[in-house]
Amino acid sequence: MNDAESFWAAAQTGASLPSYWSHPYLDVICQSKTGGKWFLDYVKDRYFGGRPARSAVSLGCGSGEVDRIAFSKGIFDKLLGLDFSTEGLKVARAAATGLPITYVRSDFNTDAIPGADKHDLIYDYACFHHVSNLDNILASIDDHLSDDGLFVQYGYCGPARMQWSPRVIDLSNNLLQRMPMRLRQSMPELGRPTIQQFHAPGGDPSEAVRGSEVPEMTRAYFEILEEIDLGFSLSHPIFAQNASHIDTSDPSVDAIFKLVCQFEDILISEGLLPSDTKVIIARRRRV
Amino acid sequence: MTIANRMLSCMPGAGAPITRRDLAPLYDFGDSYENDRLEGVLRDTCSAVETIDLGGTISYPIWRLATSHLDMDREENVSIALLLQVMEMEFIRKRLLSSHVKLFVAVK
Repeated sequence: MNDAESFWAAAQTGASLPSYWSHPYLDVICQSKTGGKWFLDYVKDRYFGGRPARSAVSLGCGSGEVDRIAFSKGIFDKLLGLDFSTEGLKVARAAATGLPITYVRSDFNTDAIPGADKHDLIYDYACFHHVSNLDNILASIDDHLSDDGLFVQYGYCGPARMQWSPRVIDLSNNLLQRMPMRLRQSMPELGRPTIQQFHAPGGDPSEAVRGSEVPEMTRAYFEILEEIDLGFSLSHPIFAQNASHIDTSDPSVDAIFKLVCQFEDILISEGLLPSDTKVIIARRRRV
Repeated sequence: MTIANRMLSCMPGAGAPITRRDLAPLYDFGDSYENDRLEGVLRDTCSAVETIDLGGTISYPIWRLATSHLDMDREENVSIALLLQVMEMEFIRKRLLSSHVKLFVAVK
């Protein structure tokens, strides 16, 4: 098991800590960009006429939580889930017993999507920024997408290895300095992480190995139907390390979190800050 | 108003939407007609004028409407006020908002 797989085995089978990404206000922000719906509901209603995709692939499925939610919402009739974490797949298989979901181990840096089937929907939920060899997986998606099928990519597309821009560091630290120390005790000040931090014990060596290349490469392979800026270009750098100190039941603490999210959202919508998280909806290029 | 209301929606016990009437107290110290033109008058009558934006555009009405009932002995509530000011100044620097409070330094 390599270091990245060890990290994800622990992440998907151990007790989960409060995560930045699990803050409920992020759903509010996301759904404000996708017609008030979860992103796969939005895709189903807008592009599949409200009907399920006949056959779908989940890339980087992890423990399969997103797939089970998607199935319960009628996003697909059957699904092939792929991930490189053996431990994550064990959890996913056990939880999907009786569902029309098959899970297969796959390393997107080297493997192709298995089989010769064409699929109506292939989605990536927060996985691609962990993949070094984007050419490999994007070419395989192109091979396995039906002519009218959709590729949906949801995830981080900020700076590779989280090498924040000077502007993001400056803005974030201006905000952090105005917050009580107890809310930022895990990361009082934002800086650029070193590569050693990603490879240190407890770190994820695959974290943000790619970032802004994800939308660039997706544009190179596919015709983009929609590119939706979800944001999180300041709140993620500020709160990712400090998430466990954000008590959402405290109205004042919750207000601080929400203020940062609204602030970044206004700057992004005015073109004054790039969006670090996107939903990209694409289809095969028509030759 | 849109920016102010988006920030207001984040406040503890989110307050009522801000209207232009809520901004009126900002002009209590003088006539708004003169305030709006003060910078122009100074530039016309003085040889050098430096203008420093101080904000007060959304932080003041949000504070007055939404947070004046908060316990300011709590560090988190002081933080909300400080964050509003930092955000407001960034909006002003990026010209998304004008500054309602300014410092003029003029030479005769």
